[in-house]
Formats: sequence, structure tokens, C-alpha cells
Amino acid sequence: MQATAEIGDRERAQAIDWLMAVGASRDRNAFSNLYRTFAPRLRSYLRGLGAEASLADDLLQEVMTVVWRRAHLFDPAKSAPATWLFTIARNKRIDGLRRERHPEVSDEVLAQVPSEDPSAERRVQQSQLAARISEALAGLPAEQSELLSLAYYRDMTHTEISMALDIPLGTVKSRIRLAMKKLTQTLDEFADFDVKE
Amino acid sequence: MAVSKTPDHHPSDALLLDYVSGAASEPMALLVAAHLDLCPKCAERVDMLQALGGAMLERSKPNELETSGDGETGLAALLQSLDDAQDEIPTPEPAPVLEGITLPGVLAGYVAVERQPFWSGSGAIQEAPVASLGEAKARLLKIRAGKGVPRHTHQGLECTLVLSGAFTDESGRFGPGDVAELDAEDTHRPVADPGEDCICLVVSDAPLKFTGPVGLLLNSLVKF
Repeated sequence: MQATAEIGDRERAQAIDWLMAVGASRDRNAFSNLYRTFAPRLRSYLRGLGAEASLADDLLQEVMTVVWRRAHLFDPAKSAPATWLFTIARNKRIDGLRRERHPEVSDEVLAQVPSEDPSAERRVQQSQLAARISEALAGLPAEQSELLSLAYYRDMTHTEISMALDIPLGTVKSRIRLAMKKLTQTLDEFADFDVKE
Repeated sequence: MAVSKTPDHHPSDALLLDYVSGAASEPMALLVAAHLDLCPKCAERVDMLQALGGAMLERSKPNELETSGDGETGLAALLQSLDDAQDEIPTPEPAPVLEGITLPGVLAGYVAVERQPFWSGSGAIQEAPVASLGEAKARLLKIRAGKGVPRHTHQGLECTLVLSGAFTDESGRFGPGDVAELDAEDTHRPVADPGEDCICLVVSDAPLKFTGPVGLLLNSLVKF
């Protein structure tokens, strides 16, 4: 499969199979397939954050090593493969470029707290959610998507974005809120579709 | 730490985005994570933002250019190195307990509860350091029952997460799990509820630095 092919439902399903195979039996073919699909995108992400090219490649190798070592912990019910990979790459980037940690709530804690919000009880197919989010992202107005791009790709906080783009802080915050609203609407619409069946 | 209800005051979506993107300083990320420990609603929003990170990764323009060798050199070298790689087994640390209060688990490793004396200062306000990285600082604050925090200025963002007790300020009442988020131009004068000391995690972020022009790179990496 070409790394340059777009990632759609079929590729997401394959990525789940590959991750599960690495987790279950340390399958090197599956791992190689994951590498060919995601390493070029991870490289783009790591270099985009201002990492000098050879440092970015070192971080990439560390990210894929973590993938190998943690594949047995991947749970397809909790997140899509790209989301799981993103969190590993993000944490590795914080560690590699800033020597800081990314504090996270442990899964055990999250599982124990019942959610008051009924949407948490809907069973959402994570990879279908990923497809809907991807579409919603494509539909955001440029003034919102550029903020997301700066946040994820340029390591900029919302206050830094406000300064760099010379946009009032309140405007930045409300555009981010609007983008979130569009994305959560996507989740609601998808879940409604699920319920009607 | 048990909360009897979902918090009323939450971090803004912009602050949650700072956390998920990784741009937030470690002290500020710690405060957000501690709130998530107590707030299922925000934990869901964070899941959404992480799924957004995944979508952005999927939509990134693939960069095949390794710094050395052809496309498969990195993979071959990696496969060789994996022979020695061990499975990772997570070992979460127990949640710290301070004066009988179980703190959010993410604070393990950051709050030295065994330190004697734990609090500095005396009187209405006491402090204990938690983490500082560069100019971003996290500290615990204890506001004695019925007492107020004097008005103060800060640069950048200042956030307060209530861990026990409650305070009231111009925006309302903040109890366990609630977050007060103040931008550089905001000030507040929190007053602790009478009858109970209020313990908070307070994070002051670094002053803003000029980041320079970014216009050219906006759409060069991700397809929208």
C-alpha cells in the first residue's frame, strides 16, 4: 500500500488489525505496514513542530519503538490507531524537544467515573468517529482550521496564537469554541444515526 | 478524591486544546489533567480533541525524506533495534494524600506530601511549591476559612483548581474540581467559604514571548 494514499475507512481497519497483531504476537510484517503508512505522516508532524530534520527522525524512531512496546495496550474501543499514535508522538515530542512530561489521567481512573452525559453511553465505533471528525475538519472555515493547525503543528498556545496573528484573545478563544462545537455536533449526529438503526 | 457532582466551572476549550496539542507548559498541563481526573465531561472533550489530533495526523502530507539513506533504511534499522525492546507495563503511582484529602492521582510525583513543614507562610494564605519549569509555576495555596487573597497582577494565564473547600470570587462560587481561568488582564479576589480552609492548585503561566511571523506556513503541512 502506498504511503501517499489517503487514509480512509479501509486503511483504518487495516491499521487496527496491524496494531492488534503487533500487540498479540510481535508481528514484524504488521509493524512494517504500520511504519510504511504512518511514519511519513509522523515525520511531517515532528518536522513541522520545528524539530531539525535529523532530530525529528530520531524522535520518529523512538515513537515507533514505543508503538512496538505498547501495542499490547492499544484498545480499539477507546481510540482509532491514528489517535493513539498522535498521543504517543505528542508526548515524545514534549519529552524530546522540551524535556518535559505530559501529565495524564490513568485509564483506570477514567473507567471508574460514571459520566453524567448520556452521550458517553452510546457505543461509538472509533474508526467511524475518526472518519466523521476528518470530514468535519475539512468543513471548518479557514479562520478556525488555521488556529487548529497552529496549535497542533506549531506548538502554540492560544495566547501565543493571539499574539502571533495579532488577533484579540477573545476572538481566538471563541473560534476554538466554535470549532469544538462543530466537532461535537458531528459526534451527536453520528450517534443519533447509530440509535435510529 | 471523590466529587459528589460534576464541576460547574471548566477550563475553556482553548485551554483544553493547549493541553491536547502539547503546547501547554507542564505546570499548566498538570492543572488541566488534575481537573480531568475530577470531570468526566471535560475528559470527553479531551477525547474529542485527541481524536482531532489523530485526524490531523491522518491528513498530514506524508514526508518520505529521511535524513539519510533510502525510504527503507529507517525501517530496517528500527526492526533490528526492536530485538531488545521490552513490553511496557504501566505502573501507576498511588494518589497523594494531604491532610486527609486524597488529591488527584496525576499529582503523584509532583506534590511532596511528606515534606515537613509542608506549608510556607502563616496567616490567611499559605503556599507549597509543586512544579516550576522556566517561568511557569504551579503551587498549592491554602486560603484560611473566611479569608481572601489580595488582588495581584500576573502576566500570561493564571488558573486555579479547587482541591478542597471552596472560594467565591466575582465569577461565582468554586468548589472541588472547579477551575478559575484568568487571562492577563483579569484579576480576581477569591474569598474562602467560612468554616473550611480552601486548598487550591494555582498555576501562573510564563509571560508571553513574541513568536514572530507565521503567515506563510499555515496550510503547508495539512490538507483541509
